[in-house]
Amino acid sequence: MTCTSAIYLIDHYANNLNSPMHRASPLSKLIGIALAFGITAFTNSAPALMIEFLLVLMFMALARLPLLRMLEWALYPVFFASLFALSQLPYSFILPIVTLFKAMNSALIILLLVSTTPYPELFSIIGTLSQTLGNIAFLTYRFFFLLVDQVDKRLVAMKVRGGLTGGWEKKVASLASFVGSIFVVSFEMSENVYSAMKVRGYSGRILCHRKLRRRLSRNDLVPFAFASCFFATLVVFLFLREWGVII
Amino acid sequence: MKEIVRVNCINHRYPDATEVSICGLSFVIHEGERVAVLGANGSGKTTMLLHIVGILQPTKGEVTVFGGPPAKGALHGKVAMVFQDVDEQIIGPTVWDDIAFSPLNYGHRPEEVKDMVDGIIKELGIQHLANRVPHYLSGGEKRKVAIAGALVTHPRLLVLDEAMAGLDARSRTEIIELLNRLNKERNIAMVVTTHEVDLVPRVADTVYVISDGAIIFRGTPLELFRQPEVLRKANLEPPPLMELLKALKDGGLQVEVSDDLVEAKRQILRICKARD
Repeated sequence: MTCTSAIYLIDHYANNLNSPMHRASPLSKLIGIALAFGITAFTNSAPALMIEFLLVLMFMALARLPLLRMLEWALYPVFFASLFALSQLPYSFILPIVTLFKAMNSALIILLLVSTTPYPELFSIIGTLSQTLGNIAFLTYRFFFLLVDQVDKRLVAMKVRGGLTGGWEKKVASLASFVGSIFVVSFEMSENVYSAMKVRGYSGRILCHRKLRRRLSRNDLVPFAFASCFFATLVVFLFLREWGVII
Repeated sequence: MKEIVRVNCINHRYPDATEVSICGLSFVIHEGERVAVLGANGSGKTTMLLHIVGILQPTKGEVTVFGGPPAKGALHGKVAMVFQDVDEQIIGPTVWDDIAFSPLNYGHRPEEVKDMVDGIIKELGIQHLANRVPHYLSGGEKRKVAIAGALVTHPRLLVLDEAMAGLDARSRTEIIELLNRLNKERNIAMVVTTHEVDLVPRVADTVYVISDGAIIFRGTPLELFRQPEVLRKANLEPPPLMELLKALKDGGLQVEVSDDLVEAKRQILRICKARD
C-alpha cells in the first residue's frame, strides 16, 4: 500500500465512519489522546503496555476501524524501533519488548486520533494557534487530494499505454516524463486556483479558516474514558510493582 | 433593460504568444438577461469570460462591466464566476468554509458571514453538505457548492464556464432548474458558455455564436435554430429536433421550426392525423 492511498483511507475513515469517538469534539480527543500518549511514554512495565495495546485495539474496534489495517500501518514505526530494541537485547529481555510496545501503542494512539477526526477539525486546532499555519494546512489538505487524483489518472494512462514495460532504462525514461507531466499539471492547476481565488475576492491574504469546535457533548466522554483506562492501568501496575507482585 | 456588460472587439496575447481575438458583433448583457455563448472548443469563449471577470486584460479592444473596466477588485462581488473545473475553485476544507471564502475576503464581519453562508446553503437546499469535505462530493454536488460560493455575495452577474460539462442528466436538470429559479427570483444576469447546442434553449434568452475569432450571431435560440448554417459555420451541429422539423418543412409539409418538444410533437401529430 502506497503512502498516498494510506492517507486517502485514513481521510475516508475519519470522514465517512460514524461512532461516538468520531462524534467527540477534536479538543477532547486531542486532550484524551495526549494523556494516553504521555502515559504510554511513562509506562515501563511490559504487561501494562500489553494491556494498553489491547485497550487501543478495543477503542479502535468501537470506532469501527479495521484492526488489521491499523496494525499494518503501526508496524512502520515498530520496524524502526526494533533496530533500537535489538541493541538492547544483550542487556535485558524485557526492555526490547517495552520499546516495541511503546512504539506500537504510540502509533496506534495517533492512528486512532487521525482516523476518527477529519483533517479540517484537526487543522482547526493548528488554526487556533496560528491562522497562517492553519491556512497552509487547509490548502495543502484540499489540493493534496486533487494532485493525487491527477497522479493516479496519469499513472493508469501510462500503464495502459505500456509505459512501465521493458527494461529499466525505458521505465526510468517513462517515469521521468510522468514526473514532468505532473509538474506541468500542478503548475497549471495552481494558476487556475489563483484565478478562481482572485475572482472570489483574494487580495493577498487568505481568509479561510475553520473555528475550533468547543461545545462538548456526551460523546466527549469517550476520549476521556480512553485516557482514564490508560491511567488506571498505569496506577494498578505501579501499585503491583510497589507491592512486589510484579517486577 | 440596463446594459451591464459590453465587449467590443478584444484581442488577448497569452504569455506563450498565443493570440485570441473576439471581434465581429459586440457582446452585450443586460440586467437579468440569460445569455449563452456557443462556440467550438478553442473558439475563445473562456478567454472572453476571463476578460469580463477581470482576470485577463485585453491587449486591444474594450471591456466594460457595470460602466467601467473590470480591473482588479473593482467589481467587488458584483460579478461571480463558476469555473469549468469546479475542483480548482473549491478552496475550503469543508463546504461551509468554502462558501465563506468570498464574504470573509470581502471584509464582512463573522456574524454577517455566518448569516450569508447559512442563507445561501438553505436557499440552494444543500444543508446536508455543509460539513462535508469537498473531495467526497459528486460532480453535481460540487457544482452546487461552487454556485453557492459564487452567489453568496449576491452578485448581479453570474458567469458560468461550461457549467454542465461532465454532469449526468439528472444533475444537469437540477443545476439548470436552480439557475433559472435564481435568475427569476433574484434577477441575476447569467452568461453560460457551452458547445452543447441542445442546452441553449433551456438556459438562455439570448445566444451568441463565436466562430474563427468573431461573434457571428446574436439572437434568440429559436432564431439561431432556424439558421443551421450559422451553427455549421461554427463547427456545431444543430439539434436533431430542429433538423427534423426543417427537413419536414423543406419536404413541403406545413410545420414551423421549434425548439419546444411538445410543440414539435403537436405539429407532427397534426400532420399524421391529416394524412389518415
